Amino acid sequence: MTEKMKRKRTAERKTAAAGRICRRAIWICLKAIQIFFAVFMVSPLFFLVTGSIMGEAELSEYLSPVFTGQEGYACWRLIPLYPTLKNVVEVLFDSPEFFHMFWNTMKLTAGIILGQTFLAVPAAWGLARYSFFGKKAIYQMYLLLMMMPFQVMMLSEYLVLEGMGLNNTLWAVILPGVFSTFSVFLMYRFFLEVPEEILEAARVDGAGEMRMFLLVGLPLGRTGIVSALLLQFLECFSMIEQPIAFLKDKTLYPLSLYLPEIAMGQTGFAFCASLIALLPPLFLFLAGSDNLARGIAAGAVKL
Amino acid sequence: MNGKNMTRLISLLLCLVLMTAGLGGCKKTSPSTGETNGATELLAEEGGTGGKGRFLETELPLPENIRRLYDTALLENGTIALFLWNDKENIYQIQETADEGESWKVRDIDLEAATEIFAGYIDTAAISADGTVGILSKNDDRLLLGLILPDGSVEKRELTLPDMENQEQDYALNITGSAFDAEGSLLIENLNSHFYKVDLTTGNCELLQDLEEKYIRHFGVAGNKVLAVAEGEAVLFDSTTGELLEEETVLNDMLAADSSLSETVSDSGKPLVFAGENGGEVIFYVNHQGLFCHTPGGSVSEQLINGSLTSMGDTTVSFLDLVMVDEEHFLLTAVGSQGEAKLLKYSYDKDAPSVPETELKVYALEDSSFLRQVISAYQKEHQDVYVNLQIGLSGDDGMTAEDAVRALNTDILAGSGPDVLILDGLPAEKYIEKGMLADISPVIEEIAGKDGIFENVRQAYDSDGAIYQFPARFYVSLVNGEEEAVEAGSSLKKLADFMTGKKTAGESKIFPMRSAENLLEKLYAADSAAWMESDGKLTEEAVKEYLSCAKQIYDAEPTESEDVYYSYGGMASDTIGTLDATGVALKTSKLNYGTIVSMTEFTTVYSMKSQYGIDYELADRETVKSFVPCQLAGISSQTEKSGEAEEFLQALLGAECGAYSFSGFPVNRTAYEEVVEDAANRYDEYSQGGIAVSTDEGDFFEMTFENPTPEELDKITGILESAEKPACMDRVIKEIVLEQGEKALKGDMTVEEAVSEIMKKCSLYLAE
Amino acid sequence: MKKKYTGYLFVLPHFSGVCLFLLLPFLDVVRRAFVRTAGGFCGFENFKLVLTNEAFRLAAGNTVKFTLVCLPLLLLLSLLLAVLVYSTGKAAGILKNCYLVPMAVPAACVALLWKLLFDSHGLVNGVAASLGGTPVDWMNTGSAFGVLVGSYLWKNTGYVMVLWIAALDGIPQTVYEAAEIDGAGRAAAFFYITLPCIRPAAFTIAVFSFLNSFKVFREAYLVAGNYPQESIYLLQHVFNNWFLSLSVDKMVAGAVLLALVAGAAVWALQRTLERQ
Repeated sequence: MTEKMKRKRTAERKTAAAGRICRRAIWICLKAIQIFFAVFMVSPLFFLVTGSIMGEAELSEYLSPVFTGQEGYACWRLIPLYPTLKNVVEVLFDSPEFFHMFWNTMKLTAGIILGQTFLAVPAAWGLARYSFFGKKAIYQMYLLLMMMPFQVMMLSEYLVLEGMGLNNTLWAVILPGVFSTFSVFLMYRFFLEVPEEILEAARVDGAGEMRMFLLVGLPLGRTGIVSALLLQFLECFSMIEQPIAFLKDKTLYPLSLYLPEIAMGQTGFAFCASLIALLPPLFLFLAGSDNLARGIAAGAVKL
Repeated sequence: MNGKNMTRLISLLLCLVLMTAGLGGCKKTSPSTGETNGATELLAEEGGTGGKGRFLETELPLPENIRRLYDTALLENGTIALFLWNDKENIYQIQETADEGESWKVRDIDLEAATEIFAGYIDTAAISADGTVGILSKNDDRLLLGLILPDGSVEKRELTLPDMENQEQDYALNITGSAFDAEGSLLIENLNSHFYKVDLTTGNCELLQDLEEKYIRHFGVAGNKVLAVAEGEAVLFDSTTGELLEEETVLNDMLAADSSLSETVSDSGKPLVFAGENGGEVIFYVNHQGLFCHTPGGSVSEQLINGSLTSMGDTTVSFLDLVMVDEEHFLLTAVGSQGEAKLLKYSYDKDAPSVPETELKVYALEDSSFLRQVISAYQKEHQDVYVNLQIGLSGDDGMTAEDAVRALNTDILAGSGPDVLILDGLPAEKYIEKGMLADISPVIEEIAGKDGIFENVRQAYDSDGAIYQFPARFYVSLVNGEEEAVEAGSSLKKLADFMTGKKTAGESKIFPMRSAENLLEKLYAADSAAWMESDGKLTEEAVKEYLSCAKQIYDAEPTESEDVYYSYGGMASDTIGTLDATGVALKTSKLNYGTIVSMTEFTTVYSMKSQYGIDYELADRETVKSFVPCQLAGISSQTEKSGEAEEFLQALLGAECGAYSFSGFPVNRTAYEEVVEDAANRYDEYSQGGIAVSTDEGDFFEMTFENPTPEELDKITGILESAEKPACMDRVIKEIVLEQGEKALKGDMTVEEAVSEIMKKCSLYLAE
Repeated sequence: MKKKYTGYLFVLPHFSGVCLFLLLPFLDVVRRAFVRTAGGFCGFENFKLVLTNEAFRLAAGNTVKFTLVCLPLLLLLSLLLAVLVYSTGKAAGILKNCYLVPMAVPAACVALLWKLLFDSHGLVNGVAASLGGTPVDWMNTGSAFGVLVGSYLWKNTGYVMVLWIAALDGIPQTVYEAAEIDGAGRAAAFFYITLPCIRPAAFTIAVFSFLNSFKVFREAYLVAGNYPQESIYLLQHVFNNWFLSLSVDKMVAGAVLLALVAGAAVWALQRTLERQ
């Protein structure tokens, strides 16, 4: 080893050490930025939580400028002066309609999610992995239908549902939800990413088309399936227009309509109801998020 | 277990939960009519089969001049007997008819023997099956039972209650209800909810039940069962033994669901009456939903008559007695909204379709007792038509007016829209623009020819000879106060300057307003008619004038006045009420400004004039003289039942319905004359009214109501006739103006900003 | 070989449902675009009415502006975050979950928070005033547009970021290793490997973001009603109001136009991002 090389080595070592420190600093900075964003994103939850355990008197004291237009500004407290579980009790035990509507939401969600699992997932697979006549047309049509705002489709959809005698039943909300084209689009995009070689290999092994879909397609397209179904799940929890349009019977209304109703006047109750309504999608989201970010490649390596 | 499996497990569990939930649900539910009563749904299903057989209603003639009807009974010999107070002759009478009211015969009573009884306070009386009338009369501390026998002779018993010590003494002798049971025993109930059985020969009372704890509101007898109605429950007991019977869950559920059914009984009737089959085990009852038949212990009641097809559905009616003639015939006595007694007979017609074949759909955004009355009146004349009243905003859910309109539009576009629309709060102009409303000028023409109509209103709604919407009622804005104030009320600008002038002069209490919104609404009703240009655009100057005047007025009035007037509460927000009127006399305000919606209100305004010299005039009369329409009706151009719809409109705008007391003056002239006639003769030596108010400062004010003189009635008629243009009734515009206006008044933005915001939003709306 | 008809078997059940519940209504919508509300064929009159309608033009302008501002912002911001999270390692689990929270908050709830924060007497103004700033009437001035954009970004950044991460995850690590051996720097690797590799995903994400940009209407509507401040008066407001006033003819014509424009935009996007 020559002197020159040695010198170079130490220099390298020095720069490397400096680089490590530098990198460390950058890493911390980047982390800090991320944490800042994360806190910003979650901050509304904090309002909901503190609002839920605040008494109505305290809330109206803080918020009266907003609701009554009085002088001054609304304010907030990190920790309520007089924390109370009254709202929680009221929502959970004293409002049977809350639970009734919660179950309606669950029924809608179950119907739509199951329907999509059994119909939309295969459709996306079919569109992504097979070539057949009219495939392009179907895909473009799905894209176009995705773009139509609900307000516009409502009347015509109403007429179709009316013709089938489905109006004023939960099916009127479930069936159009099952055939949401966006889910297919999203899953289609993910299925496209599945490497053809893996399929070929499976085919060589003598796997049938159905087997291939179940054993190769589903695991590899998991990210897409989970994202699409999760989004659908969220959609079910904040549906407003569809139930109003297709359900006349108030006993069929889902939870998402309960929230706008209570929002004014009983703020604490509204906070608490919102919080509780938010929990199921949130938990499911967090449970599924692990699957969300796992790319196709990660799945493929596992195989 | 690692994290991933955990996630899977959770997802799986949630999936399972969802699936089980899914299995339980999704069943097709039958369209609910909004009534949660189990029995109503039963009918809805039967109605679907298109079966035959229905009870038809006929109104039987009653004797004239009934002030109060105490009891109605069907005697063993088949005559119908009434015990009543005749207010023409000022006498108690027993009237009987053997021919269903064709002729009524007054029973000859030994008046001399009855003097003592009739001299006491009589709150209740009962007629037994043999025709004996038991009258409970309270005379000082004595409780007398007068028995008027079928031959007219009178017997007297002094009643003594066995348990006087065990109850509130003051109320014990106040007998609130009485009835004969199937055995012919007389049952009475006092104000303490104690029930007694009276021995008719001795006058001894036997305590049957003490229900003081429950606080009984009213009761009925069915056979040998007493049904005592308390809040949210019915207590049943045997009328012979007093033994408590098992609770009827159906009745309890019904009472729990509708608290109005247990409203305290008054002489104007009850919300719920009972009858029973003699000796049988079946209970019949009537409420506004109809006539029901209930077998004790059963889990449902069978609906025999759908209330909405008969007078029972009219919520302004209350019931007195239900009498079962036989299984196919019932009699019902009731009191109408004007206090008039009605005798209704229901007979089963096995050939009539169980639900009338023709359904007339009437839509209104908001329910009103007026509409219910009209429907009831129409239904009586047209028993072959079923009027289905659809209410957009039932009020018990979070539905907004907009959601309701959206649902209505969907129905209209789907071809299943209503036949008749009450357009209050609906985008009527847009409907007309789209050709969704039919020309109703022939109907208006016919009424104008028959009864006469306010020509100014007709002209206001006439567009090139066609009329697409027409109000059944209308009202105007008045200003009243001292002379200078009345003069100032002639335009917003003058009013505003007057206020500022008074303020500079150091006067504080000038204008009665409860809030910024209240002020804006009052001025809106008077001024908005002038805003719309003929090309459908909003005039910016007019809006600006309105808002800056409102601001000037609001600023001239010290802010604390908001609380002062707020504390009155309970009054309709924008009408000249009695309390407002007293303000001028008490010097708590200089003037009144607001709409006047009835002759009763006018009586107040007139009495102020005659006793305190406070004059009145049409408000904001210098620009455009305006009126506020209400119960605007139109017929859908898509209807296939235009004949029925037009007949319905005839009823709505007709003389009979016009005379109903409801806010607004009838556009129908004949009805209006009747209202005027009523107002001119309302108060006499027997019936008087007035108000007396004392303030915290010790001021005292007193006023008796006087019948307006013909000249003054002519004046108000003249004012009504002079109004030429309706106020801007567009809900969207009104909402925008009031919302932005309130901000301007409270100082969140300047008047200019608010006006520009209003103009921007409104022109967006109008440009759409 | 793939069997020729297997594809149909997978697609048909769903496709038939789509035909019934979406295509049929859609065709009805298209039909109505050429018909007056009260009936009667009227050719392209409805389209003419719509295109000359001031309210529609304003709303269309706002919607385009909103989309053009929001989409690039959202895509860049979320990509940046994604790269950040991705490059700082797997420990990002909790953080990532935090980013997902806004997506799960129902619209009604967001509306309630909006009201508290951005009312002229609301919390934001309260804080501003206490710090000596001038309060702004957020919902009644041009800043309403900013609030709408902010709300959209807040709600979607997290989810879109996760989608980006999925795409980043899809790039085989070996490619980077090869590049490193070839002496490519981090920046070069990003521009020459990462970006091209996530291009197809960018299309998916752009479409997703575009569709979600429609959904801000819910919040705007729940907070400010039918006639909000001019700058946030969107196409859905017009459609909604048109339906309320029974102007279905105009509404469907407007919607068909929207579908055409949006379809063309998506198609163009597809061409640019997917061209191999």
